[in-house]
Amino acid sequence: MKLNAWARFKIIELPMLVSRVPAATAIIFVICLSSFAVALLLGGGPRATTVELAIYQAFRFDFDIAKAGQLALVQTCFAAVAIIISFAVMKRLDVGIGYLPTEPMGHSRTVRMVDLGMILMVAIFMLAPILAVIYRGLPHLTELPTSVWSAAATSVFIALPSAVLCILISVFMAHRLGESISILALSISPLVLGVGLFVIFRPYINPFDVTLLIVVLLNAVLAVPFTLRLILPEIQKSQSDFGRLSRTMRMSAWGMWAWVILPRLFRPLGFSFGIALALSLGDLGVIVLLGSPEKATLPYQIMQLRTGYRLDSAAGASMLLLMMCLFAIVTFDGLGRRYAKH
Amino acid sequence: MGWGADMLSIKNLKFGHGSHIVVAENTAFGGGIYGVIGPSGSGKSTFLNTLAGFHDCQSGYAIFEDGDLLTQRVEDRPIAMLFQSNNLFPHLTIFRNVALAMTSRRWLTKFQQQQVSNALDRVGLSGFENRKPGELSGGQQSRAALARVLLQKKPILLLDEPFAALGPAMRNEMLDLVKEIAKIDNQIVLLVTHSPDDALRICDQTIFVSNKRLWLAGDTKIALQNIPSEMQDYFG
Repeated sequence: MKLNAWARFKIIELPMLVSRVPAATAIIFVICLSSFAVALLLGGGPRATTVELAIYQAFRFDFDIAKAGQLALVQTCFAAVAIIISFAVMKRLDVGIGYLPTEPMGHSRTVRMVDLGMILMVAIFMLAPILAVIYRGLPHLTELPTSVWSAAATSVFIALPSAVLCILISVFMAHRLGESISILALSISPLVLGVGLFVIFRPYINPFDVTLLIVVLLNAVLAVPFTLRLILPEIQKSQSDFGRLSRTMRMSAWGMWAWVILPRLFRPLGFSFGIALALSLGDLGVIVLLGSPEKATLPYQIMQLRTGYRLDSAAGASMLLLMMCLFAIVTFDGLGRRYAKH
Repeated sequence: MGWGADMLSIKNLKFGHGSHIVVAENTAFGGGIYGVIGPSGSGKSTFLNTLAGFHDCQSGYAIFEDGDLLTQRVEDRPIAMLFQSNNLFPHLTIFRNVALAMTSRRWLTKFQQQQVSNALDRVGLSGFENRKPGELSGGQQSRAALARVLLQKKPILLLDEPFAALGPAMRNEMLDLVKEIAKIDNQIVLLVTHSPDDALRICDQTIFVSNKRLWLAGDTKIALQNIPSEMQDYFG
């Protein structure tokens, strides 16, 4: 149709952006609202204190459970408002993953250069801290204290069952309602959940005795919104393409799963498992509330090293964490691709 | 062995989407091949999908063996169907694709294995058991889908333009195979097609769908020689 760049933007891209950007913005807002690891690691002084840090402060240092609970309520209200807004502006929930353009759009040279510039800026923003970790951490990788290796083992011990549980939950929630519910999981802060579980468990058992179990459960639940979005499109495609055929063939639901959906799901399952592992390995959420030097995960240990100004060891431990996360994603994504059947 | 005596009777059937509601004349279909012909969007595929259970009707009945098909679950209807696409699972072998018509179990009995082999042999696909659909030609894929239909042993076969993507020679070959299979089992076959040539080749009778109406026009040759006024624009 020989549309110029402006016409293409106005006719094709703008309507799509108008329908998607508000919801995406609301969801990013929610994720930012419940993310506090960066603020915590960078110090989070009085001028940079977030509600999350205030919960952490009230719980961990003041041990004022009532105050932590009140702050958790405030945090939940903020998130709830954002989620209500995102649901209101979303005409329909779309999985957002699974579509890859196969035909080039034929953008002009200028547009392609602008796109490339934006991608480079984001890449530099993402890669700079990673390169800093590699530069600073790699030389100290062989001199890490035993506590770091022990924390790494604890992280793996937590991450493996957490990832398995996350994948199971994602598969069972792989439908539209499940997707809506999973967005709610995005809005719930790990600290809020941690405070809530502490309050629930406290009359019956000492919550600190089951710290690792709580971390396994929470990491699994909190990774579901991400893994579900990888798994759901392939399930929906299989059902859309072959649901009618399988029904006329009288295949049972189990038969459909075993013969049709599961073999075609290996690739997203492998990648999802890697992502769930990496998210759990790198989680610095509820562990900061309930963790201790004896039950430290690797991120918790990095935080301890950082606050103790043992920066070389912190950099080395960060390098180890980076390698573990990359190994998890690359390995399981590779396995998924290897056994994928299309 | 055929099913022979049973008839599919349509009574007061109304189906469609939104404001496009098609009213079907009360009709009884015996064993034989019926061409379903009409303009795009007239409701041909919706008619088949209504019978198969993938689309709810507005009202009416489709009586077969003293029971109303329209109240039965899709899985329980005595219907096999071939669609315009996705008639085979691309990640499974031809053998498994056909075997799934009988059982979802991984291990087949000797008898079941023999039945699959017989069905593949009947459509000329012996020796292709371990191939995947993507390794076969379009015609061979259609044959595999027909082998599966054979094993389903359903008295009613709905064909929603499954051979539309094939070339003329291959399509004719498939139509002849359908005719052969349908005659032996005395199935009721409803074939959606845009091609009068296809209808003339294998259809005993013709059903027209146009202007929100579906009716049995009778013998295919006669129906296509005396095209009703509301179908004139379509046939040109």
